[in-house]
Amino acid sequence: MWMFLLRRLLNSLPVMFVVSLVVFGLIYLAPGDPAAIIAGEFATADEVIKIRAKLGLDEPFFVQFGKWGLRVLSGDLGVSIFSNFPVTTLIGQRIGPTLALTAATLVWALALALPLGIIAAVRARKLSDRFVMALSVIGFSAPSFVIGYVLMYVFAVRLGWFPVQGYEPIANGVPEFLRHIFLPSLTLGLVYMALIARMTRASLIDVLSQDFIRTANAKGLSWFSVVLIHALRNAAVPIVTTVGAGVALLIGGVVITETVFGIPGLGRLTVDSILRRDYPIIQGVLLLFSLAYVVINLIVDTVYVIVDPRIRY
Amino acid sequence: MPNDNLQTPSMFLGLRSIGARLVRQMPGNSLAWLGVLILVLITIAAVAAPLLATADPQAINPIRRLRPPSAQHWFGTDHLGRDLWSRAVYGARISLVVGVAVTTICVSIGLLVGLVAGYWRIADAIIMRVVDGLMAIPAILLAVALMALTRASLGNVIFAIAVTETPRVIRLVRSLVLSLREATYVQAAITSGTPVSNILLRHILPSTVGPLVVQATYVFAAAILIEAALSFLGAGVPSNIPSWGNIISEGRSFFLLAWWVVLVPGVLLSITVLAVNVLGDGMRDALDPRLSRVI
Repeated sequence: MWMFLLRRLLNSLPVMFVVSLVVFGLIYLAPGDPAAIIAGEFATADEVIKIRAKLGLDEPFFVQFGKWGLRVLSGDLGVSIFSNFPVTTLIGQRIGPTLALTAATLVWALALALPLGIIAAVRARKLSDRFVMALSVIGFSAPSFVIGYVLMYVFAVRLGWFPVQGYEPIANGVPEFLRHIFLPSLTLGLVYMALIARMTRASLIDVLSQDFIRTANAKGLSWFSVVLIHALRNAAVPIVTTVGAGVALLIGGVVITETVFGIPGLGRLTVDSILRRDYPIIQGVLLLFSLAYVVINLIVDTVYVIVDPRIRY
Repeated sequence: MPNDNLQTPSMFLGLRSIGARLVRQMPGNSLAWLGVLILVLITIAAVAAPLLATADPQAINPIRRLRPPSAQHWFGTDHLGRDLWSRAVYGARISLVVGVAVTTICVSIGLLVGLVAGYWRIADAIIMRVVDGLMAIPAILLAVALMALTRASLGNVIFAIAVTETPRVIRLVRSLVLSLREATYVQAAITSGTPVSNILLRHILPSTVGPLVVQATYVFAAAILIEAALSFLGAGVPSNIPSWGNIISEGRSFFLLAWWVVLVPGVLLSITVLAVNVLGDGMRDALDPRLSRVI
């Protein structure tokens, strides 16, 4: 177990190395002079030179990457070109709403997706199954901003059940927090829920057709015991993988959802930075989100070993 | 959908049997044909946009701004009084161009790199590290970062989306090649001294086509969605091009006054992606009978 964890941890180091190389190297991938593009069309030559120095673009690539990497490892993500504030400070100010939104979404999406997937699998090809599958196809096809605006129009504008936009921290009271986070969280979680429900269904149907399930049924075990204990546990690995891989959907979606509902989180910070071409901030957020993704999948892989003792690396 | 296409031996079909199976199996799948019909209609709209548009998509008319859908303006007008029907028809062009271009780039590069990675161990180690790294960065954010560094243009949007989607294709092709390598007929070919190029092109490549075609539809759908998301976030095609994402992005501030500016392109976008997804699922089911019973 500990050996596995250690090896898995070592395996994710090259991934993070490549991520940081990409995040850093993007500046070079881009056609044209990045300093000039960041400075904007009306910048003077002097301003462009200043920005070039600020980004360290006047040194050889691997020297820059090394310096940058060491700074990042010591927790320094550079300073914003626009406001001159340290990127870590700006991220710290905005991370609260994003964490709250993602965590809330993760909880309800998982809590709904598993039962839906199980129902769909047990009643495969029946009406309830068709309903779950139709819901999941729609969840995949409608972009989250369209879902967000439809929900906002119906439940906030027409019915007035929820505020149209905005965010209240939990510190200002749980009911207010929930009222504000309900629609954004629904918008963000629909695709994720659809993905997991689908995977649960597919994996469970696969397992339910195997011989040991027939044996379990034949010896008179209850439905509960057969489906939830025998089958689900054997169907767990692909489901757990999807739970981890799907987090990428949540992370990408959070940027869009925050924009639709005017939530002052990391997503808003990113979008504001795009408009100002404030690359150090985009770089910082990109690194942070990728790190979150890698860490979550590390945890997910650990869950594997607990769920399925057959897996040994 | 992309993440649950479990690969099974019966997906490894030759080119000819893929065509045969699609023709034989798909007629029973009315949903997939509905997807084809919708895509054909949208393609016609995109190609014939100048004929179908009832007004110049860029013509500003402040007196008629934010008008709801009516006989004169089928989809209403936006905040500058531009006719939304005409803009939506032209917008279909952008979505389809992005979808086709990104899919072509991703499939060709993904196939090439995936074949190399699947066949040569050393190349595999390096390529897969890069692929894992790229896939750890959320697709929309990677595309956003690329766009923040380049000038807004259609070509750059296509490039940015292709960078995020290609790793997925590489991964698929590589895993197919890895399992095909172990197939008896490939082992026999290797043993009898068949040149590597022949093994890859004649023995392995044809069997990757089936899963690749299915994957291509998902790349197509993802490309359209990411393009719209980029435009929505203000990092997409230049704002003077009426793409669906741009129309939504501009209509955002007026949403409470005029819902149709956001919802008309939004629904069109959803229907297009839905059609592509349904078609992809239909093809997957037709190519793999075992899965069609399950999924």
